[in-house]
Amino acid sequence: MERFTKRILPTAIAVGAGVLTLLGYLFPVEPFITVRDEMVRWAVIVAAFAFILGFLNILRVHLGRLAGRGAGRGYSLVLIVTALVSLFVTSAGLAVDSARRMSDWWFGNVLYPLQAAAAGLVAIVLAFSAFRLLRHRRGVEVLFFLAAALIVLLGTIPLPGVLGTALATLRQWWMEVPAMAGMRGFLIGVGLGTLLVGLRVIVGIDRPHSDV
Amino acid sequence: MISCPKCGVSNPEESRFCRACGAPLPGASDGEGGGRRCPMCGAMNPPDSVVCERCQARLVPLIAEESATEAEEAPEAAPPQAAPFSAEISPPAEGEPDWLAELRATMEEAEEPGPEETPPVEEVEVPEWLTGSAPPAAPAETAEGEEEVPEWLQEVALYSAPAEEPSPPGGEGAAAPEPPSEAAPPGREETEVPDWLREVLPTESPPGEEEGPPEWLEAATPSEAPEWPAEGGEETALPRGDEGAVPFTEVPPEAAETAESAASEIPAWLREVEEAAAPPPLLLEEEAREEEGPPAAEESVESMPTWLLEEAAPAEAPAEEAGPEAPGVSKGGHVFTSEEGVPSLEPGEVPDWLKELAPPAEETPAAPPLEMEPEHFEGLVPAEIPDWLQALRPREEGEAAEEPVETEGLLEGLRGTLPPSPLIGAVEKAVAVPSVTTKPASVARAELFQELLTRPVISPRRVEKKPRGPMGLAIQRLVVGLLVLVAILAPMGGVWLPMEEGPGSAVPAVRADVQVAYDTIETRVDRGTPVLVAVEYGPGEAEEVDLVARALLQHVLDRGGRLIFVSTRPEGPALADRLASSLDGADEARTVNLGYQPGGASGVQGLLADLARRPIYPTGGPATEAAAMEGVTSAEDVGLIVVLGGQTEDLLAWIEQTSARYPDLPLVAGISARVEVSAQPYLERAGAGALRGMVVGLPGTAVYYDLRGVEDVHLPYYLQAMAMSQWVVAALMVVGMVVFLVVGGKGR
Repeated sequence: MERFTKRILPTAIAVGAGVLTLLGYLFPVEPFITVRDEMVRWAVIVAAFAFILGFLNILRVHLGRLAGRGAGRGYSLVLIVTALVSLFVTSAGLAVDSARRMSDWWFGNVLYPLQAAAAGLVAIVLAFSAFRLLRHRRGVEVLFFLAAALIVLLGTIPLPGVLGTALATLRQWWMEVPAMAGMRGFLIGVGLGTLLVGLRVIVGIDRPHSDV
Repeated sequence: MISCPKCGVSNPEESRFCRACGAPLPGASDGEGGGRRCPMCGAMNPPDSVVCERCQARLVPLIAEESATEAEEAPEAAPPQAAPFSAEISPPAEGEPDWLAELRATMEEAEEPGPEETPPVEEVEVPEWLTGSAPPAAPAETAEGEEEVPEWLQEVALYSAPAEEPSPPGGEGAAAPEPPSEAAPPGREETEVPDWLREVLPTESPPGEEEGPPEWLEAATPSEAPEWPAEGGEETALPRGDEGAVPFTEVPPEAAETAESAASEIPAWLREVEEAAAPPPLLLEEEAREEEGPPAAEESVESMPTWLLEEAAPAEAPAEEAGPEAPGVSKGGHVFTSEEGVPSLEPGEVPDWLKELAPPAEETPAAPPLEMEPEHFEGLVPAEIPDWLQALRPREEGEAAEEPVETEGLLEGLRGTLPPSPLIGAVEKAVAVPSVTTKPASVARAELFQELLTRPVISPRRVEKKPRGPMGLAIQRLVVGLLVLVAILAPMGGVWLPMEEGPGSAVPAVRADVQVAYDTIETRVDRGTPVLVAVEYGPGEAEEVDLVARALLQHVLDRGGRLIFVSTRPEGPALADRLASSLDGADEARTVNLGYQPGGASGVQGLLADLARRPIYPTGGPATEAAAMEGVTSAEDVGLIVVLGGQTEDLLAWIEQTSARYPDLPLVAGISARVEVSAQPYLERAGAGALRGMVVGLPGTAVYYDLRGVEDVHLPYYLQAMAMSQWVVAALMVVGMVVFLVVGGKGR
């Protein structure tokens, strides 16, 4: 029974859903289209339910850390309190005023500035890392990487004169030829990998949804 | 003095038997009181005594007790038992063997000094086992004759000692209580011979029949004596297998040669002695008896006591050991060949003294194989013994000698050991071991693991913190951060970099992509055209993407289009509201926020398929109630899709899902500079590509504004701050490269 519930049944559901959805794309006729769209809706519901599970899981982890008297208990306490308050504020539909809801105010005055500031610090960190790159790593590829970064940086700046035009032209070539080539190769690899994983899941070779 | 009525020899008054011939003397009584003499201690007991009053020795055998009782009832009828023991030594007859004559002369010389006396009586009729009970005779009387007389004959001679023991040696006369003469008064004969022995011995031996063997002995003699004694009388050992046996070689060969002719001349006593001692004389006795007539064997047997019959029966076994030619063996009869041939008596049946005299049991030879008459084998077929049974039979020594000798092991030196099993020690075929190919990497890992295992344990040491250099890490971070901050804030202080103004200042490539996007909006968006806007960026990319988004969406709104905001990110609806609030003309009639759709690529698929089913953010009302959603149920009803992305995955999901399901639906992207490289492959080139055009970062926004001919008051400041910071960062990179190339670093 355990084998059926933990292995056979999940595999059957995954294979069946994959095959039906694939048939809807390969043969866009009824009833394959209806079945395909229904499967997509189910996937959205399942993904939404995953957010609930994720929320409960992060609460469990940090509650455990809080009970274990380990390091960073204060951060865990702040996280738990913030999550519960946000859940309550959003679910209750509290409003700051008639025009703004509490959740929007919270987002625009807490979350947005914090994430923007963190993104701005990324520029400082990237600059410092570029400065000390040769301090930690040396080699042809490192020099190549630094040269590419300089070209893109300087080529993006709308500088006047020949230097600006030359840097802009070099940057355009760099982005359209080497960078795009690498990115296409990466995307093709990702596409093939996605196709292979999808087929393995549909056939039943891979069972990430099964415990055994 | 009592004169022997038989031989005339004078005997002391107290003698019961003749000291010369052993005949009962007249007037001799049965002891002093007519009692029984103890064979052990010699004390006299009353006639009816069964046990000696002195030593408690039994006087009458158990078996013979009844016969003795009967004999006591008729004591007068029973003649003296001395007949077999008191055979008179007749004078040497003609043809008598020399050894016998010599023996007689020796006896006479040793025991009877008087010339008138007859040669000393050799009471040799008693076998050795019986004579052993008698006290030894005086050494002086037998010293001379011991060397010449055979041992068995010496023992017989000692039988007369009881009567002589009390008498002083050499003494003779009536006054002497026990004369040195061996003869005893006839009256004492009955007292000296116990009743049981009297039953054993012939019932009566008249003087006139002394030369013939007693009837009981005749019955015991073999009817068919073997012929080997008569054939040669050669030197032959007595076939008894007993060391104590008297060798027959002591009998002169002449005696054997003339035995047949002299048998009738040999006195009875000597004949009995020979019967008891050695088979050849018995053979002669048998032949002589045949001349006299057939023996009354049955009568003799009947006259024998039961215990003696029982004792005589087992004697067949040792007698038959010598084969059919064993002397003294009578087929079906009883044997009294020698004292060794007499089997041991059963306890209780014989007195103790007699029990002690009996030959040891271990000296009794084993029973020979039974030989049967040929007629007994008639009708019988020899059995076929199987091989396995043949292997189990005892092996002769000769056979064992043929077996190989064990040369090693615990059984070394032994013969006839079982050979080892052929399977033991056999070398079996080795099991094929599959070859294993070891990869060099595995070998290297194994060697490393071995090295780690063999490496001595080093106690962890506190890692000393290295002193920082003149430019510590914190200082470096601080310097870099300050430089970037100064570059960003420099435009605010009036420091501007020289930058080419106008549309021509943009990078040509950037300008081309922006141009495509601009043209798409210009051509695809009209008044009331629903445009699906995917907000796929977060707050971290919001400052950059919002600039791009505002340029694009304001263009759409300016063109009269309707904006339908959707997102696959949780923070998307909030950013969409924030973006919409910054646009001119973005009222509820022209904009609608359909909120967040989870599921990644599946969420995009669901959004494209079911726009009308989406709830309105944040009220949750049906999308069909929104004015901006008029006539819109799916992606097929929209004129353009604008993807505002800051993450590669989100952008790619929209590009792929849209182009796959709605290939004719144009898609324009306003993205961050970090996503540019990921979107480049999807840009439409030569009429092919899923992404119609894109606006990337501040440079693209600047170009877009330039294309539209509008001016943003904040945009030049942003561009100066960006350019200044990029120059600073580029300068830091170059400085860092030079410094660490010169100074050196950790390297790889």
